[in-house]
Amino acid sequence: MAGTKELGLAGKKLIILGERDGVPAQTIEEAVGDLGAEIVYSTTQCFV
Amino acid sequence: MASFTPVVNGASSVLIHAPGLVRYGSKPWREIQDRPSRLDELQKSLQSHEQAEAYLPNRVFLGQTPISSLYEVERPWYGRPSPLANDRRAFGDFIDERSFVGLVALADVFKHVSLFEGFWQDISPRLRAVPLFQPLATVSPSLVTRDRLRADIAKGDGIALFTGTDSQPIGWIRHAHHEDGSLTANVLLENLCVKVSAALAVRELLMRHPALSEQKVDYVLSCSEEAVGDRYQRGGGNLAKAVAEFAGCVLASGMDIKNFCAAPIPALVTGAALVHSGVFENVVVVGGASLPKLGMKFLYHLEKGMPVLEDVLAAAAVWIGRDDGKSPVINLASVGRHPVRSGAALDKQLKAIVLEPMERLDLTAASVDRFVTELHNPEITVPANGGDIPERNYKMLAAVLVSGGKMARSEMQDFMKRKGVPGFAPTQGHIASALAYLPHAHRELTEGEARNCFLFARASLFLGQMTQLSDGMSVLLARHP
Repeated sequence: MAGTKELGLAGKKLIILGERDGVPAQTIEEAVGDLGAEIVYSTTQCFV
Repeated sequence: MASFTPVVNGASSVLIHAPGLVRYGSKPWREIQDRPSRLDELQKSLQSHEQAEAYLPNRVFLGQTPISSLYEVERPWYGRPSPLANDRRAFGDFIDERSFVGLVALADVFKHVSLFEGFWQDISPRLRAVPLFQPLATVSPSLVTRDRLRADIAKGDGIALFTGTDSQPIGWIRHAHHEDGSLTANVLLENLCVKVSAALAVRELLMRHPALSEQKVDYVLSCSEEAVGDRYQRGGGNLAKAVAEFAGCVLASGMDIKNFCAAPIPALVTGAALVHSGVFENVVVVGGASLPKLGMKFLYHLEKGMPVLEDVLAAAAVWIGRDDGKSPVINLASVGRHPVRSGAALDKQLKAIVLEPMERLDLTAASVDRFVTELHNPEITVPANGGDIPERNYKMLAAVLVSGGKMARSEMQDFMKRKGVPGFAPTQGHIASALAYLPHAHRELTEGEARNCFLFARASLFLGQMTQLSDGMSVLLARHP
């Protein structure tokens, strides 16, 4: 995927913090899904 | 089966100034437990009753000031004198904390709350004289002497009750059961605050709409944020029936509709369906106040030198009945839902709950006068880095409407001002989620010029950690044809 090299996420562990009125964690997971990183924690927060 | 057109016959709202209860909001409670000096910092930044009553978003919430004033008056909105002291109170009252705490004691049928006898002597004449309170103040609370109150507090078997910034406790609420985490004093207080605030909203509804007497209410649907139950069934529910009882609706039963902040919309839809089918003639949907959300962002407000603006408890009630020839119609054919397979991103949610029903009804943006969503007061959320929630929703909605062919791209710029509603509601999720607008909607669709309004709300189901999903629902209210 284009950008993989630039992001340098391959082999890295990821903590994903999403926001319900912005970008939720599930969407970020989908976006980074094939970049070779391990998602160790993923959560969506609600600030209201 | 009978078929009746369901309408919104009326709506009410109340605000309760609750500075002495802010310490029992979830965030302040945790912070004060961790660092007791926080209490002093918090109390120095609380608004007086007069300041909170004059606060523009609160005046808009109660219908005393038009929503358009939020565009006309520059921020900060706090710290300003009330511009129209004699303006009418259209939807409900701004209630003082001392009266409210007195009602909390009266609503506590199991007598876990005890009040200092001197406090009760002070407030009881008012509770028994004010028409709004009178029907709720027909019993007496459990009373204690000052010495007994001090002794109970020293035992540490519950939590003390305070009003305002007074350091002298005026009461006490004890844990209902030593081994039941669902019946601690904090949980009981939270539930009693919902019960009393919801009952006050129902009483306002009854007072302002004499055609709806207590005996005519068939069913109450509570869409409040709370969990009433015990250790064997946390969130067992039916706060609605407790509210009906306290408000004097003796022929009513009820149930709770749970769906995080979005609960008011499924409650409206369920209520309308019950009326439409002929199961019940008069249904009241009520949302009581959320104690845990008091002071939720107080640390940010302290940091920015602002007053702690999350100092009010909010509640609202809606009367759904049969077509009376004039009231706004709840269009059950318009209901939009958020299916499991829809994505969690905001644009996908809006496509499901706004665009899809518009497609189904062949509506364009031009044929909807108001889109109403989460109306959180931005003066509370922006300093806490939460952004302007309504503005963000409307920006995304405008983009979704354009991409769905419902609106021209050139109309995106001023979409919120033309078709939206600026935020004015306290950050008590379900209240902000369209419910706060219901009294305004009723007024606009009867006395005003509006043809319709499209209500929608979203629920953060993932907070309960049973699913990563969100939810959402929508419904169209239309002026009576």
